[in-house]
Amino acid sequence: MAKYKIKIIRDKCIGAASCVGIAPKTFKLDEENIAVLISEDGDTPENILLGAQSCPTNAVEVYDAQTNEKVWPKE
Amino acid sequence: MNQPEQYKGRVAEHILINERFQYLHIELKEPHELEFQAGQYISMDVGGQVRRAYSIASAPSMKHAVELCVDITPDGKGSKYLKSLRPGSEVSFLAPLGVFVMKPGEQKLLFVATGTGIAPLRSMILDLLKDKQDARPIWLYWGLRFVEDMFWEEEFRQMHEFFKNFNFHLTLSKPPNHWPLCNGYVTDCLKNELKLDADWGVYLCGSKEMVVDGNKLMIEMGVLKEQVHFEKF
Repeated sequence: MAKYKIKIIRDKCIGAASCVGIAPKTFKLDEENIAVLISEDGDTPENILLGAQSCPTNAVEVYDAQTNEKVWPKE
Repeated sequence: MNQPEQYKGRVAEHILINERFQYLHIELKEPHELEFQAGQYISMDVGGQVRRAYSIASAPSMKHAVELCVDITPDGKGSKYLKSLRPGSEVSFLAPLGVFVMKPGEQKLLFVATGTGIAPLRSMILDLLKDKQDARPIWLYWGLRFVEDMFWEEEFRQMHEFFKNFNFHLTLSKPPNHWPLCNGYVTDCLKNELKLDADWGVYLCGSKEMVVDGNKLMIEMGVLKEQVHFEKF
């Protein structure tokens, strides 16, 4: 089971592709240059979280799959 | 593009350019070299599990360090963290990130910045002129508000003197009396001075308003939509 649930806020995504660079088996850009999810366990949990954390607009939200607690962003 | 990695660095220079802008020179510790493309950014850990994205202002040829130029007036977590740094402070960041990089095949280049939007464009211009001796016509329009905001203008003026294919225009939206150069919004100044067409590639970085208006204007002026590139943060 994947460690994290991932939610991408399309309105916030600017297509900077930092998530794709860090976790390329989890995220990709669609034809509108917006990040979409490929799989919630495509990369290591560490890289998935780093991919979310690297987003300049906090467009990727990460939740603990078991507790549903928001892991990122914190603010 | 290179795979992003976690970097640790040490602040070597920390200069408050003026009340608004801060310059940082960070020497890399581990890994000790960064391969990146001009225009990319770093994601810095600013404490409290918060990260901020800062464009790299130095050229890719400077592999052992990165230079940043940041607007610190928002006074948010990122600004406070940067202001707290001192020479010797350790920082950690992810790099390289981003896809705002030079595209091939464009015959003439126009760079348009407002404020610290100049950072990634400076990296691109240094890379093109100093490291690659690129001979294409290159124009830089840079908009600031006040005379007091001005920095790096001498560096760009010297590059204009040295590289005959490089044209530099600084504009002020709130100039003093008798300001001899173009005043007003940077997009208005370039609209009146440049003729653009499908040969041009345009790179925009700065305030959201300038990027949105500039993007529209470039297409109206004849630049192909796919040759207008911009950084959106």
